[in-house]
Amino acid sequence: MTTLLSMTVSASAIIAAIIVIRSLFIHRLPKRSFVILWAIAALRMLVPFSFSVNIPHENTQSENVVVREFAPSEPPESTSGTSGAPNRDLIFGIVWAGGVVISLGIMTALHLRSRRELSEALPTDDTEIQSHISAEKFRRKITVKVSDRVTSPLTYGIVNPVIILPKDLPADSEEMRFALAHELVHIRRFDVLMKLVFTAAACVHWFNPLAWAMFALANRDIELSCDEAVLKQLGCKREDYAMALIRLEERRSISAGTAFGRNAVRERIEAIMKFKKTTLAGIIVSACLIAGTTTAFAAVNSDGYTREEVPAETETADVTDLDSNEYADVEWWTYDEYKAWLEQEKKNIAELVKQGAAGWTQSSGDFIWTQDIADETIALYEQNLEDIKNGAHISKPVNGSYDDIVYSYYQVEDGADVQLSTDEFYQTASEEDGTDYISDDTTDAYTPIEHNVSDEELFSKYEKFGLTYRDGRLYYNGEAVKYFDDTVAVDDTITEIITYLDSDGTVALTAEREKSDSGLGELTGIRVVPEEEYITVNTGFVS
Amino acid sequence: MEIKLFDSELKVMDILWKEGDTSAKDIAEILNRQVGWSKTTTYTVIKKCINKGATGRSEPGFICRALISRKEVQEAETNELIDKMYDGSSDKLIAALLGSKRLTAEEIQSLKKLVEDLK
Repeated sequence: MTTLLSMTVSASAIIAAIIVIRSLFIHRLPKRSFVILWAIAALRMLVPFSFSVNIPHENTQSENVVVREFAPSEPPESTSGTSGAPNRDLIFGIVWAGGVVISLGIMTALHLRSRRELSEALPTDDTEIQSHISAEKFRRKITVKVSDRVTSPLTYGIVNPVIILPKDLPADSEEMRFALAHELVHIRRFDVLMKLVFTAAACVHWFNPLAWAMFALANRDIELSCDEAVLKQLGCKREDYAMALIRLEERRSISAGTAFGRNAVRERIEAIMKFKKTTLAGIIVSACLIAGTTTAFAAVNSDGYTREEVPAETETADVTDLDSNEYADVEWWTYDEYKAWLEQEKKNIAELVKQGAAGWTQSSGDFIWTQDIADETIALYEQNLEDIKNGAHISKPVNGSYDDIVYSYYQVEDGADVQLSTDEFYQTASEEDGTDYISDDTTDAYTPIEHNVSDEELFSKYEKFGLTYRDGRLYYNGEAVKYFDDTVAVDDTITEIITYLDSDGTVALTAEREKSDSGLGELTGIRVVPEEEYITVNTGFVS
Repeated sequence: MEIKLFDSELKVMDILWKEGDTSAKDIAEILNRQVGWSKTTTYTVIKKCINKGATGRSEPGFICRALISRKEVQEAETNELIDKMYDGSSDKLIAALLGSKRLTAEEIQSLKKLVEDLK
């Protein structure tokens, strides 16, 4: 179901774009370009796969980047059964399938009914018409029939095309010449097949009004494109062709038929009269348009993909400690959203593990999803969720790119948001719930550690440097401590950060340690951090 | 009484007028040779002739007989057009979907004027 929805959403964007382009350039560009654009949209609606545009990270050490390429999406029917909230999805699935069956049924019934009537058409032995047909080289056998039940020429059949001509169209008339040329262009271009594709796309997306808009406009554009080809091929006067078309319409309106929409016929006449020999510029512009739309389609596509999958990459995030203003347009996950997404993602990951799907991360390159990797990944997500709960702001992918995911940790102070660096966030979190975190520099991940020492014990080693811990607060030479930190190398890879934050305090301190090969060595003293340095440190690493 | 018949129905009547009473099976065979219709198509057309009162049938063998003469037949006006619903371009189907109507005489005039203007 999600696959179908993401397909319909991205297709809608393409359709809307084509409608805009069409309304601006309908008389200025080769009509064929619009048919191609519609075909792209229709394929997007019918082919259920998404692909991601993989943007590799440059100059970043962040690890555990999870980029899933070609996450194969199942056909909508099976998805509805397996993905989350099975009941709701099942209902949606049934309603959707019912709609598809009904709309396809109506289309098929209408088609079969006219096919039955058309089977009563009579063969023509008119030599003029026959010579017209045989002048064209076709691999397929083309049958021409005459019927008194149609008022305008038409073609059906893909493999064995049949042209039905209205009986009252004189065989030697100009209209007949144009009509045959027009139908033959349809046959050469497999337009019947094309229309079938548009019909299928509209029926599958029957709930999307834009799909029907596409259906109607694509059908019109096929005709316009066909007219264009006839004009080019016959090199006749535009007004002759236009008048022949109007005469056909006229005949039709005398008899009790339903002509195609007024706007459509007007548009068609106008298009014919404004027909110009395709210029090189026109071809270039339309090629650019098609390329542009296709690219946009890929972007929209990956965007749709992003919405579903990319949060997987949240942990790729380089911790970005930037001024919040620069990210004014960043969208942050809310706790509930992220939680909902995580629930879904857990299922997705489980599915990936089951399939043994391939993945890719910055650190380990290509890999196959295993339970271990899945557990690790989910643990990271859960950490993110916990962070969000604690007030961290983790952004959704910025501009569709997971390069720019922003981790931002906010602490509300005096009613204003003060952006803290990641470290500070964990300090704050630590202060609130008494948990300390191990910072793993290679992954930028923070894992909570259990302390088996009390705070008194923890701070007792600083006592000889003038730091005292009393009633849950730190004092330095009698002054309340505002901020204190110390970084202890536990072993080669794990660094423990001890921090203390008290907004009522007045003095900021930091522990001084010997520099050693393995990083930080013995405690040598405690330094008062000057106000300027303290501010710089806390407002983020602006460099 | 005049009966309005379509070309396809006239094709069946032609045989009955020319050959006299003919079984449905034979009509189907003749028309298959003549115009390439399938048996089903021919039977459908015969049924329409019977419904319109142009043809009578008698058992056994589904023998068809012309109930009207050539003179009594008037060519039917196309009042139920196929391309109302479908013309291969299925524009008519869209027209039906969008609820558009056929063009009026004024609209035809305005289209002609459009061509003149754009010439």
